[in-house]
Amino acid sequence: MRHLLLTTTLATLILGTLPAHAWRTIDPARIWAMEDMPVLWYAPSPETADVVSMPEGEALELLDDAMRHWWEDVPCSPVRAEYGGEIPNEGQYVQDNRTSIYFEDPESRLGSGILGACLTWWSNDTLHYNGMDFFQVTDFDIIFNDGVNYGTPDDIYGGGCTAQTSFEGVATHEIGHGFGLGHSCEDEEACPDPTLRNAVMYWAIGSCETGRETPNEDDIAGMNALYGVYTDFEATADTSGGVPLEVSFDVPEELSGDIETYYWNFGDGGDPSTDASPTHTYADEGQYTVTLTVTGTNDECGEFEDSARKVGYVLACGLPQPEFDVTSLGDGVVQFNNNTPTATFGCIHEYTWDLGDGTEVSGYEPQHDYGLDGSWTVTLTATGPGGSDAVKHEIEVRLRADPRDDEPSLCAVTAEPTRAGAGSVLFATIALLGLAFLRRQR
Amino acid sequence: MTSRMSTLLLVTLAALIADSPARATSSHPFTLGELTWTADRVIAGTVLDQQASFTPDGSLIVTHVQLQVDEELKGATGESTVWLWVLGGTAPDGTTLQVEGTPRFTTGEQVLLFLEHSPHGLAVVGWTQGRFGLRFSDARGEITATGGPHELRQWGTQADHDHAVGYAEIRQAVFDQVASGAMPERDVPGLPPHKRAALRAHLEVPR
Repeated sequence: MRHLLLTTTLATLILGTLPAHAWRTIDPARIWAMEDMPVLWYAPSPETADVVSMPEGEALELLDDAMRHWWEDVPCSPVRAEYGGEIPNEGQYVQDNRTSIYFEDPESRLGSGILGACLTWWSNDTLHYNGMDFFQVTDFDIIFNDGVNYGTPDDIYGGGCTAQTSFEGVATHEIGHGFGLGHSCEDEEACPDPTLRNAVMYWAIGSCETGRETPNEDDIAGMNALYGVYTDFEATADTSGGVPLEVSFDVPEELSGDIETYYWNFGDGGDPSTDASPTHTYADEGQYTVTLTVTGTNDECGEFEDSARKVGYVLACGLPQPEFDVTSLGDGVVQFNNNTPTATFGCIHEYTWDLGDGTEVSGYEPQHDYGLDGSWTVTLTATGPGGSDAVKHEIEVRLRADPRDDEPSLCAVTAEPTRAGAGSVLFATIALLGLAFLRRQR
Repeated sequence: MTSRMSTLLLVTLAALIADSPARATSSHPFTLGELTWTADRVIAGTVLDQQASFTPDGSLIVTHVQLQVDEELKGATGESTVWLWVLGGTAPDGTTLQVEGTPRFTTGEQVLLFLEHSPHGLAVVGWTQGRFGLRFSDARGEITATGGPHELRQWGTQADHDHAVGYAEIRQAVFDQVASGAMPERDVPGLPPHKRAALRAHLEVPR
């Protein structure tokens, strides 16, 4: 599943009525996948860094407050983050798939005037929305500049501020980057209203500046465009089974309230549906990707459009058609070769073999040591979502002395296959080597 | 301005590429005076080359930018080229580290940069605030600079469609600042220790 990411231009094209906002996405555009929520974040103990000029432990509390601003103060925002624990105060610039926040910059990478920075890492996985692909964030790291005189809310708002910079304000800004927001007013022509400079995501913050901790309307508009209303769907019946497979789809009740239009693509080339809860029959074997696109209007988030796509969500399978042959490995050991067609991944999940001498095994291509002359009826059963079916072949194993040294233990296996049942005889005689078979008996 | 600078600016202006829109992340809003005081070197030049690579320990990607020095406004050394580095970039293997707000460059463009020494070489002060794009403005009949520090981007002072400021004005202001030796009248966060100490002593801020 997931999510839309709109540049202002795109949002304007789609929604048509957006006010003149100044928010931007980060470049290249990328967002978190909802299945990765909550984002676990880690930080060293503030005791390990003397650079945050605040009472011990307060930095962590302010970081938690800064995280919460992005959902508690942003209606419709589904992002979440939780403190994951303490980490060593090292590795500030290492990609480790762990969202980390550091209170100092020991490598001196930030420089004068830079209060903090957010390094965003992403994978080549893309999130698809509205015909567009966006990179998927894997983690972000925030590094605060240890040369900054940071202050607590008491320092900033208490009336005695001299030169402190709001730690919570900078943290909220950098976390906004981590969630996918770029700088607001990046292009000043798109920033006609000076009040937009109070946005958390405005690119500069001065000493003792107030009001930069809580997202303002521009920040909220950006987050709602990135993460606001999203859609998802689920099947109300099994999504795997034998063909013809009938599957019913639905949108969870908590997500469906504001949806006005539905467009379902079932992935099999069949007719799409605009029903809220359609049922579709898959006639042919295959693995199918289902996509739902919805539009609607939400009181708090405005107009929205989103898509959810589930790759390989439906698995429709025919009845398995097991088949096998055999190869002698000498000394009465038989290799079973599995020739069962497996055109669709997942349509067979189990193979069981009755080897005719009381042995039953599972696996794709087992070996077996018969050790005795004889005829054995071997049954291969294949089981999958489409059902279960079996094939039987009779094999004859004959041990005889190796002509080179007359040692009985070196006897080879000779097969004298016989066949009936389905009308065809499948066998091979493998003189001196061995064996084989078969009688197919469904 | 040296004749080489003038020639380069005038001859190649048509090829200039628009400024990168990115600006510093969580940055102190510099004034031009603060920027000049903080910078160890101020250079107008042409971007010759840029190479992104992993740091030796493999943990980080940085981009090294080679600049042809066209004019030195502060901290002159007489070098014809300098290298500077910025955080982030795309390494040869395609791995990208993107740091919101770092200055970006295009080979061939002309820029005015406020640079400071760092343990890793020259870096741009205040990231994009220390980076101006230079171009010739037909409308104004002069070389203009876009980008730069906060104070040059105030709303309501738009003299050009892109808030450009005359390069000559900036150049003179830098020269004046250097000549006066005036120190900032407020704290500049994130300074290296020796500058921080000097400024706080000047401001009589308790250390």
